[in-house]
Formats: sequence, structure tokens, C-alpha cells
Amino acid sequence: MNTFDLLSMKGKNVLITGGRAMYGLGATLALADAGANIYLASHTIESAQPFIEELRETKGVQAKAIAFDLDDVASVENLVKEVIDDCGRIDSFIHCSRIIPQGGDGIGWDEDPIKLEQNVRVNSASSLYLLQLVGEQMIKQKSGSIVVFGSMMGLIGIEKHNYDGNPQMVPGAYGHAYSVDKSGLSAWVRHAASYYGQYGVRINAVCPGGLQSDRTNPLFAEKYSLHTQVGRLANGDDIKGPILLLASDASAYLTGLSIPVDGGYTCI
Amino acid sequence: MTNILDRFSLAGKKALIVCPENPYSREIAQGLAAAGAEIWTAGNADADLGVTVAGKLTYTHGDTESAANLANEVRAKMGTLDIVIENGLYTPVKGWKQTYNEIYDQLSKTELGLMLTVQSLGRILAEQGHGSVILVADYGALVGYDPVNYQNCPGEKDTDFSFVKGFISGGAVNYARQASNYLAENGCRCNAVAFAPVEGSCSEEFRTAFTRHNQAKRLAKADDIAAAVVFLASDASEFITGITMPVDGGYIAK
Repeated sequence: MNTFDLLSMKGKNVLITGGRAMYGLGATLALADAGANIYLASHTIESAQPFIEELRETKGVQAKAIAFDLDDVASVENLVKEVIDDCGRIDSFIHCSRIIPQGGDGIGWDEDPIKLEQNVRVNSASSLYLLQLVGEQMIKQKSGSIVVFGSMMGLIGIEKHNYDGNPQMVPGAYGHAYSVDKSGLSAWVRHAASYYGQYGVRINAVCPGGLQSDRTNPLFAEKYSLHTQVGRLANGDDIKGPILLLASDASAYLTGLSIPVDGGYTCI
Repeated sequence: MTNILDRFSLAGKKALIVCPENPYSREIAQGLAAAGAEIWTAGNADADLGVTVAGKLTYTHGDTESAANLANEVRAKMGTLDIVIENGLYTPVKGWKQTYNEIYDQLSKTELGLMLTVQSLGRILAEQGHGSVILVADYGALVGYDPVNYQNCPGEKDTDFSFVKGFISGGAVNYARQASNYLAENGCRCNAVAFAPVEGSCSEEFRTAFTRHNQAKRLAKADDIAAAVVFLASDASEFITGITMPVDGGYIAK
């Protein structure tokens, strides 16, 4: 088959959470570029509507927003139900959403136990429950590809001297919950791949590193970039190729992987 | 150079085994005691470790208040703490299909408990400027559990191959690295172990299937578990931190 046909998402229904910002935005745009029907899980339908319109107009794809709150079990259940009621199947599921506890991630060794519990309750437990529900649907279909967002920070510990000159950033980098959650997710992808494989369902993770944004501290960017092999933070396009590969039939023989998308940060 | 055998000695050191009722605790306790450590436990359930236990602290893994109290109990009763065996990641929940509440309950008892325990006891170790933390996980931390291993023992698949299991074991791997960063700055270490099942802990059918895939062609012996933990607990591994050590007869090596 033509390689571009393997990468095509035309006629495929894709559900994506966290698909309007940061890495999730790049993922949504890549899947829309490839022609997917986009179901965008969003806090409110109204706030997502301008983006939905933009996808329809600029990419020529079907797109729909569904109200979703990862911190609400009923909402998690409703998300899957709404997509199935609307189109009958989920060909690819991209899970990028997570909550950031009040006051931010991390905050050092003394990270508030309330935040640790929030992370476990929402980012770990609720995400796994959502993945189970989508997995059950894909088992019924006997096909499907799941892509979860792990992190470079699920593969390695922090490099403290990246924060030299920015002591205010150090407590945010230290912490417990993010590394446990993302580390667990990468291992779970292997575990889940060994279960879902018999049903024709694949599951993989992308593990991105730092993303350049207008809020990135320049000194941090300089120090961090020295640890990558390509000498820079990620841009908005860098996630697109890996996401499309894993979501599409081009990766029909890939499952259980955690692919670092980090410019080579974790290879040294 | 010091006598290398002296560096394995745990004489005069105090070890706290968290969740002593869980698998591997007995082998670990016997190894640590044989190397000279004083054994303490922190948990709610009784456990026959086969060694003299100097003291038992009450502890609920995954409970925030209990984690805060644990540090106070350690300071008041143990005085000093050299070795932490964090063995609270075992989860007996069955099967793949689980409700949200079942998933949350298991993760709060394991994943949350892991973080709260290491956070709480890590403060004591950092104040002292020495100590070794060992996170106990199984081989699923490093590879997926193989469904083929359960083909002839479907009952065990229901208990072993549970939905959250890989997530919980795997969380230890990078947490060892992350926690190690802070602890190493304070003269302490943190490592994880990824154990194969111990002889006698599973059916003959599972043993046959599992050992077909490992290079040593056997399950773990009690001595294998004990030796690995004594090594990571002792000064013999003084320069090792942030690793996850497979103790599986080469299961993940193939």
C-alpha cells in the first residue's frame, strides 16, 4: 500500500482530550491534516466552538466538541457514550488531558499531600478509567489505536542544573506525582498492549520533552537545549509526525511503545 | 581499600519494612537480619517474617495523616532510620474490567502510599544525611505481563493480570530516579527492585510458562531476593542510586 494511504485518517473517527493547547493542539492539527473526523473533548462546548469552526474551514474535516471534565466520572463515561451514539466507533483515541493541581505541579519534596491525592484521583485513576472504557469499545470493534501522552519526565529524573539562575523554577520541577504518574503510564502501555493485542487493539505512548512557548524562560531554554541532541526545545510541529504515525495504520505493527519525542534529551 | 565483605554488613543499622504483610517481605526481612540489621515494621496487618522484630509501627499505606504520623513514630521509637523498604505496591484486585472506584481505591493504597511514605521518611533520611530507600516492585515494572504465561492457569490470570497492575509497578521505576535526585543531594539513595515471583508463590503451570521465558530457567529463590536487597541497602552499593534492578533470572533480558 502507498505509504501516504497508510497515514491517511480519512473516514476515521478520532477522539482527543486536551486537544486545544500545547502538544494536544499539534496532535489535533496533525490528525485533521490527515482527514480524520475529530471529536474534541473540551471543558465547554462554547469555548471550543471557534476552534471547531477553524478545523472545519481550514482542514475541511468534520469536527465536534463534547463537554468533558476528567475530574468527573459521569463526564468521563458520557464522553465515550456521546461519540458512540454519534458515529458508532472510535478508530483512534488520543489522551492528552490532565489536570494541574491548584498552585501548579511539583513544589518540591514537600509537595502538598492534597495535590498528590488529586493527581492520583484524577490524572491517574480517571485517565485509566477513561482508557478502559475506550478499550472496551475498541475490543467490540476488534480494532483501534490508543495513544497516550506520557512524558520525558516519566523516563528520567530532573536535571537540576537546567534551573541554574532560575531558583524560583526548582520547586516546580521537584515533586512526586508527575513522575510516578507518567512512569506508571509508560509501564501500563506495555501491560495494556499485551492485553489488547489479542483483540486487534494497539496502544502506545508519546513521551515529549519541553515545549517552547511564549512563557518559556530564556535562560532555562538555553540550558535545557544543551541536553538535547538537536539543540532546542520542541516546537508545535514536532509532535505531529509521531502522533499521526501512532494513530494511523502506518503503525499497524507497533504496540506497547513509549516513544520519546524530546530531541534526544533522554538518549544521553 | 576496605574489605568488600564489610561493605555488605548492615550491623548497627535499622531497617523499616513498610507493609510487611505483602509478598517478598519475609525474604527481605531475613536477608536484612542476616546481614546484621535491626528490623522494624510499619503496617496494619500481622506478618510472620521469621525474624526478630524490634518494633511494629502502625501505618496505613495511602493515608495522608498516617504518613505524617509515621515520621513522628520513627523519630520517637526508632531514633534513627537507615533503610526503608517501601513494599506497599502489591495489589490483589482481580481482572481487567474494573469500576472507577476500584481503580481509585487501588491507586490510592499503592501509588499515593508510595509517594506519601517516601516523602515522609525521606525527610528523616535527609536530616540525618544518610539512608537507603528501596522500592519493591515486580517484573511488570519493566516489561508487560505476558498473557501467554497464563494460558494454562486462567485462575491466576484473574488475580495477577489486573487492570492497574502494570501502572502501579511501573510507577516505581522513574520515581526511583526522581526521588533519588533530592535524596542524593542530602546524602541518601533511592533504588527500586523488579522481582520475579518466588518459588512456591505460583502454580506449576505458571512456573513452567514463566521460566520458559527467563534465562536462568527457574523462579526466584528467597536468597535471590535477600541478596539484592542487602546489596542495595548496604554500603556495597554506595554509588548506585536511581536504578531499577531486575532480579528475574534474565526474564527481561531476552
